[in-house]
Amino acid sequence: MSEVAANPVLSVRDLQCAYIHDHPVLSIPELDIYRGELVFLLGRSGIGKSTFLEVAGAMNLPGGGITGSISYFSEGEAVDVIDLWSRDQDVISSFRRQHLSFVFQETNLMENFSSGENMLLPGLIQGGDEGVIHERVRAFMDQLGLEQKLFDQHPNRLSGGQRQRMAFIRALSGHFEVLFGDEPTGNLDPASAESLMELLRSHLQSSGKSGVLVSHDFNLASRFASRIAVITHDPDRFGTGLLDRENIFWIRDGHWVNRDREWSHEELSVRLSNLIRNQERLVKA
Amino acid sequence: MKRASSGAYRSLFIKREFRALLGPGYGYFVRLVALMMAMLLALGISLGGLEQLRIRMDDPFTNTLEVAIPLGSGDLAQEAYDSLMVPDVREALYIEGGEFSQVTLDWLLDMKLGEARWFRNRSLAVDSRLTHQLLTDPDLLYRDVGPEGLPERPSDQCGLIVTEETVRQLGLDPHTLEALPFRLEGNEDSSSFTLFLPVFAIVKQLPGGCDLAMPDPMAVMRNEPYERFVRPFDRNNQVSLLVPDLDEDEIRARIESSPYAGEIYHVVSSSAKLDDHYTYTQVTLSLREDVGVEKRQVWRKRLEELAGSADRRVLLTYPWYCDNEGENRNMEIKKYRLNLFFSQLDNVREFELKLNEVADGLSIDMSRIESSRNFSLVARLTAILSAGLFLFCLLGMVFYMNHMVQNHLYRNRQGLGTLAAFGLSRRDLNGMYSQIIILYTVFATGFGFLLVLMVKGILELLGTASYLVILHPYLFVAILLGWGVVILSTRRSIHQYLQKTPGDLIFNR
Repeated sequence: MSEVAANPVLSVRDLQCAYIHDHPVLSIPELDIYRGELVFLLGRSGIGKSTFLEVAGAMNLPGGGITGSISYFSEGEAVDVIDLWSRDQDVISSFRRQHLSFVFQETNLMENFSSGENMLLPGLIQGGDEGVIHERVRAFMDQLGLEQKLFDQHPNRLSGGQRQRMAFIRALSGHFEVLFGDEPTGNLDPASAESLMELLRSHLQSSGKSGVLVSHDFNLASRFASRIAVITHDPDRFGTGLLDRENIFWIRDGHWVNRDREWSHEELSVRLSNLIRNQERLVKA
Repeated sequence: MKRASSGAYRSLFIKREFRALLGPGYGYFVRLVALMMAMLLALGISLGGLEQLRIRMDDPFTNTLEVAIPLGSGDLAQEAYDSLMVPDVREALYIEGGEFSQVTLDWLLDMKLGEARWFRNRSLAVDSRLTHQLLTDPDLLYRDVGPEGLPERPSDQCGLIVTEETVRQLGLDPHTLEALPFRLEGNEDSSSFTLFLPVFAIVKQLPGGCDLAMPDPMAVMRNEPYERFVRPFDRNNQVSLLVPDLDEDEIRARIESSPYAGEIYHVVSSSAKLDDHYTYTQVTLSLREDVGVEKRQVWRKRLEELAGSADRRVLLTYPWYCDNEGENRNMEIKKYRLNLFFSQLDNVREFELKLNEVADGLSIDMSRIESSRNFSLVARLTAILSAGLFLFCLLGMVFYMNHMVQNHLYRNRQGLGTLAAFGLSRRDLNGMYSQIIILYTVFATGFGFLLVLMVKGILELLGTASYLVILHPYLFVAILLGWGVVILSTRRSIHQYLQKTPGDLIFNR
């Protein structure tokens, strides 16, 4: 499974998440995320994509129970994020500060802060140099075509697209190992979405960081992802999303590959579309 | 560039969230200030009410009960007094002390009309609590310096306590009055004349509906025959007389041409003005030391002659002094009334029963008993209402702050959840919101206090400031208590809300 890089930054093993005891909503036998990768997580609504985002992003633990492990590897040490929940809250907060970043479809900007302050906050919380973060934010704004004067404006005066780009810059301005995105381009027009993805991909590749994006947009995924993982229904357990190796696609020598078969871009789009549609039919049936 | 530190986001966060909690147009803050002001006003007015009640309780008209003593029941009254003054009884009935008093009808000269009118005159024990209360009444009209021309009073002199209404009825000005024209009707041996008795205090009213009061020694002497009461010379053998319608030279000429001029040591005269109606000449005579007591009595008549005694407007004045020594030592006032002073009025009904038990023949005005009981009830109700108002306002503030903060957190839950996902710890969030709430409450209290001070200022201009007490220890204790309750309860709400995980906050679970 080491087609992209040698060392994973995030490794998931035998993960089972349940909101109700003995009724798992998500099962991931094995998943590794490597440095510099941009992984798209696809699947129909309610299949468990956001559950994975919350659990792997140390944002929540499902109340019905969780088994398996979600391990982060940093500087030769492995930290199981599930184990962190049993420790002091400050420990898990510290872990988030050092390893994680987020971008959400709803942007979740603080309305009482200026746009610039919103973008600076994660870096400041991490204890970063305000000047450095400030310059980085300004540079990202230029790259994403945001006027500098928007820095001092309140988010409620910005358009949806501008807010979404601000949320992206907020996620990129601080230090992180893995960036999690929940439909981060859902409110954007295709051109803006592509420029954001372009920025994200280049930033991840140049900095050796990783990104995991939950999305419905398999066209965007097929253009920008290093790897695409599709969560489907577990055929053995109805109501459980399953991410198995058969539904993970990666790029090798400019071609999409899965189970030693190469897929052209068009074939992959059709395949992904069919996979998701089949799931929807299955649910309806 | 400023070096980043953990303080950078803290100060930014506190600043922005504090501003947000002030509300649009500072509306949320203004409402809390209004609530705080209402609480402080409620407390201030309650404390003012309690303070007024306390003053009323110290008022002789509130805490004194007067028992009328029928004619010939002096001994019975004395027995009743002795029974009531037993320590256990005093303690049980909250009796602080008591005294007998006499009430007489006396004549005072109407300066405008030149006519004498009668007024109710009561006696007062010199060192009693009642006298002290009358002389320390905040509404007291009192002067030490008299009108030009009248002699200064030595410190051991006695004086009258008179009501303002009485002074006005006599056509005198309460603000310049030094002495009161006490009219003594003459007898076969002497013509009527007026003594100007020094006034120590002018009060709004006197107990028992009396118009003036005199100290017991003076009252004792007032009971004595005419000649004993009228002792025109003081201990220095000096007398002053006021003579109308004669100038100084004419009076001096009369005195110096008198066959008794040899007994006079010194004469001083000057123009004196008592009121707007008459101009007098004040003459002060000092007799030689060897002029004895008997001769002084003779001199009284001579003075009348010198001043033109045929005229009823001839006025004599002389310094009065309380003489508790010698012949006055064993003299007593007449026991017409028994005055009892209470520290509390809670057991006034029991007092009435006790009085009936120890002195069946003595009666007490039931309306006074009922008034006293009502006063006690009002005092208790005021205290309960004060506590109720305080608790009501405090609860109002607690609910308001909790509601406001919870609303704010709910509106910003996704942003806060996202910051928590980025690594802002729960401890930090709680700490920052606690600081905001403390600042918020302190500012609201400060502004509320300033506004109440302004209200107090307005009331002072209107002359009703005494009904609002601000600088009172209870008020500051209440503020501290209010802070404590509001801050702790709001902190608890914040802590409870922020117990949620970042995921629950972001996805609104």
